[in-house]
Amino acid sequence: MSSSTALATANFKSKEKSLFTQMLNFYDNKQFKQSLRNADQILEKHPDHPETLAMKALNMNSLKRKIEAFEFIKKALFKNLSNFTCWHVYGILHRSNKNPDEARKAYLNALKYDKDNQNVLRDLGQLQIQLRDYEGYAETRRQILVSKPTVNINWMAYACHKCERALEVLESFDKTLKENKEKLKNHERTEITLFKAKLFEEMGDYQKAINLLQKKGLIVDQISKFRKLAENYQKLGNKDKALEHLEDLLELSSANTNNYYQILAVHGYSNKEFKYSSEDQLKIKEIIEVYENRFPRGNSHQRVLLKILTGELFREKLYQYSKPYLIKGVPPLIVDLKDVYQDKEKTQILEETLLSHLKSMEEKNTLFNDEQEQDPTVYLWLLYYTAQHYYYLRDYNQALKYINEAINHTPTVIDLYVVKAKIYKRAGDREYASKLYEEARKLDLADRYLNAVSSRYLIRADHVEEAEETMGQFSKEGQELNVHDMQCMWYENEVGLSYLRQGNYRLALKNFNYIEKHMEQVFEDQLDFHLYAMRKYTLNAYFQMLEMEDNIYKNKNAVRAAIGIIKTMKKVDKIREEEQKKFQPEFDSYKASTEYIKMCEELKKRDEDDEFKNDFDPKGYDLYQKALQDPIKVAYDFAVLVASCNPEVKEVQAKMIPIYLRKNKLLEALKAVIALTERHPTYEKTLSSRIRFSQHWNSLTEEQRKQAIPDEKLLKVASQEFEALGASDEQSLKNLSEELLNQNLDKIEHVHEYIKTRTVLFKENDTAKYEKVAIDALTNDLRRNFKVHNAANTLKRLTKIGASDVQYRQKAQEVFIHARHFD
Amino acid sequence: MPAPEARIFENIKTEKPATRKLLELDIKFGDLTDKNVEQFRILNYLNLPVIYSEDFYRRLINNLRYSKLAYLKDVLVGAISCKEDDYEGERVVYIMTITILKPYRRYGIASKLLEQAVKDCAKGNIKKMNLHVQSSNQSALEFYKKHGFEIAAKLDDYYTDLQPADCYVLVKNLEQSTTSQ
Repeated sequence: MSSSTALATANFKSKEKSLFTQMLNFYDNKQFKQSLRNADQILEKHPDHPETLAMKALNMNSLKRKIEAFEFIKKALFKNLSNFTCWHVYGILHRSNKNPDEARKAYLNALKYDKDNQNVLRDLGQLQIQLRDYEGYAETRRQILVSKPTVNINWMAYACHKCERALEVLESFDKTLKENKEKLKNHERTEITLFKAKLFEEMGDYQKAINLLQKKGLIVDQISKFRKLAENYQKLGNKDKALEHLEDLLELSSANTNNYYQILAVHGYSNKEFKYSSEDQLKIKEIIEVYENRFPRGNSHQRVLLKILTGELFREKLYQYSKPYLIKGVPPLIVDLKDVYQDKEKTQILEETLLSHLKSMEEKNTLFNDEQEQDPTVYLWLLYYTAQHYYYLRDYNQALKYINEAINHTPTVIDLYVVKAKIYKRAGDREYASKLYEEARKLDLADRYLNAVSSRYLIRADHVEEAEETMGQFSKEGQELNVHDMQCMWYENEVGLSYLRQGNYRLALKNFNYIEKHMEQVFEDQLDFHLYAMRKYTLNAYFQMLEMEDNIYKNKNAVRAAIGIIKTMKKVDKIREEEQKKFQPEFDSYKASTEYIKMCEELKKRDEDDEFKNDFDPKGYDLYQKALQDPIKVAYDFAVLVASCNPEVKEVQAKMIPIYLRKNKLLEALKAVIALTERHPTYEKTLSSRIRFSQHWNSLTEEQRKQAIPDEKLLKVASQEFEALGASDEQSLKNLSEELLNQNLDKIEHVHEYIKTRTVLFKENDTAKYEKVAIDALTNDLRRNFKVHNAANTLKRLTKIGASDVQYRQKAQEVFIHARHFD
Repeated sequence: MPAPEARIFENIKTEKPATRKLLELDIKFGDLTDKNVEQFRILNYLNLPVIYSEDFYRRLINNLRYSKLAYLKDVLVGAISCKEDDYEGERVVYIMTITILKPYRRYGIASKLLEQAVKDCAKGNIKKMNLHVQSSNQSALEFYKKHGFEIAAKLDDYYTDLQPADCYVLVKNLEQSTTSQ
């Protein structure tokens, strides 16, 4: 704005002129109150001065007086529709209020009146890329480049689009650099070269990419260079060269297992599930063992082989690999071998190896097939590994036997309590698991990880307050728990779920809502990087960031929060009237409480920028009041973002279907049903989702369907897709549900879904049968230890529909001896 | 600090360690701090005949200088706890406990801990170390004598909760021993 200051203040006397300059300086230094004061002083003399009005609005906006700011800028605009500054500020206000589309329009208007204004163009460009309007962005950056070609960053920014154009731009950039005799710094040159190579690679011109990568002096990042060379040679089909560069890569980073997998891929072994015939295994072993001799200090090669080899080859490799770790006492040994548990035979071999070592240690203090005497810690860690092994197999009795023996042997080792806590947690005793984890935490109060995990265990046992206190021990001294401004999402999710279990829907919603806010925040945050990344030449990382931001709702915490919100809001929806009656007096007394009034006063005094420290609704009363108006909408608004980003996550899709139906989003519901049917045919909720949808669809008149899907073509496609799902009359659906049950009589989760479907969707009530199939499932299910939670849900369902649950409860107690769900 | 949960230590059986040939172990020493004192507490809780009061640990935290923890490959296997004290008008270091977990006994770890404490005391210009030993505890008496401690007195009815209740006061003169050893 400073370049146009002279023009803007042409009619001013010197006093106002200096006030105006000062006002701008104050604003740049974030002294908004002072800047505002100057604006007011100028406006006394020149009440309609557009630039000053605009500045006043900007300052108000920064001082959180947003509504006033908008009124002000609108007034200013009304008087000066052709003033670009007013339009620019109008855009800025919209942008800061998260209204990017309006902001973009305002910027374009500003450009009408000053088409080369750099500030406006830059802001517009930033917004366009934020909105992923690549074409608009390219055009804006082109304009900037044309007017200021000497600024390097303008070249970089313009280069940020699709292949060929980008290459051209970068070539011209090189030319201008040469003409100006300017040299880039090493890492800047590296970034640009790697980016160019990537463009060549994407265009399929591998040879050009290779030529570029091989030029001397362009790339300082040797690891990326060799990796890219190997990849390009591999794509060209030049195996020898690919291997040569992969070996260069190993010299620099022999710990990266991916390098070995790539070497195997070059040799033609690229099975995604790592399954090979025994002949192939021998060949693979030969290939990799060459590197074992060359890089004896690393273990990545061995880990690759452990993943691939089976049978006796695996046994031998496992023995060789694990021996030094057994002697050294390396706690993560078994966690590290987790892959093994996907293969029954290998699991068995691992078990035999552990047990034979244990036996040998007991008898003569040596490892199996070994002569060297070992100290007692070797035995201790073997007990620990064996406990973990049975824990992975969900054989909780065996796991407890070994871990108790280990604790008895050396009670000072923290890891032992951690494993014992895990065992109890999985076996279904959250309360005792939490006690054990607290014990582990107390053994080392300086360990932040133990502190956090112990907090999680406390929350799982619904001791939220204690958890908060525990977490708080690592907050900076004198500060409150700062999980929200630190975006600690696992914590918020756990707390939300705990409140949901406890029936405190207000606080459950509040906690899930934090995550919704964080996601928005993370997306917002990239705004600053569009220009920053250009200035630092980090194009490759920049594109990775854009991709990450595009998939932000794939984040697993977002998924959990979406499921949490749906569960909470469905509950609230069911008991809405009751809840509303209860809530109103609570709400009134909270708003009248001195606690609330004091908090508001204090927050008004602060002018911090952090949304979470400035939260006027920390207990979620306002949020919940709104949610009570329309719980389904609250669930929909966030969860739909997550669901559309995660078509493969079955739980989200299944949970969304009733929500879609309530919102009359027939098409979306049908899509979810199809996604489930195609991707997860064996999932227990797939059929029930289809039944739910079919019943709904059939209950609608043609007219109602048209209303839900106004586009005729779409409606036709939808009808065809619906028919393609199969017969949808009530009797066929009933038969299907019966059939599915009969195929899964030994799976408690299927039995649970069956009972739900029969009672809720078909309005039947054959309680005696339900209890019988439930008991049978527990009796016949050999993998039942995985399913405490499902079994508990089944108990709840039986109780809910008024079935006798005595026998089922008894059976469950017998099967899940450590669980507390059936007390 | 509440007592450790009894149920956490299931399957406790007390058995005498078998005598075995000595394997030379690489013992590392660590400091006792307010962050890891609970580990030390568990060590004592399960291995000493006396259960110390919370007050004991509270005082200990304020007087940690001559206490040491013994680690075998990062596993805490034993500890010595001492405090500075007045003895007949002299500044001395009083040994409160030496504990070694059962499976790790007879590897000479206690000796190493005691030697380390003696070294630290000498560095801290401490002239004398002393301690109490229950009169019936022959192996402890032998152990300390081997390390240059001498019986200085016998106190009757020293223990209120152990039988026999008498104890010996053992003293080691550091000025002599540093020259003689």
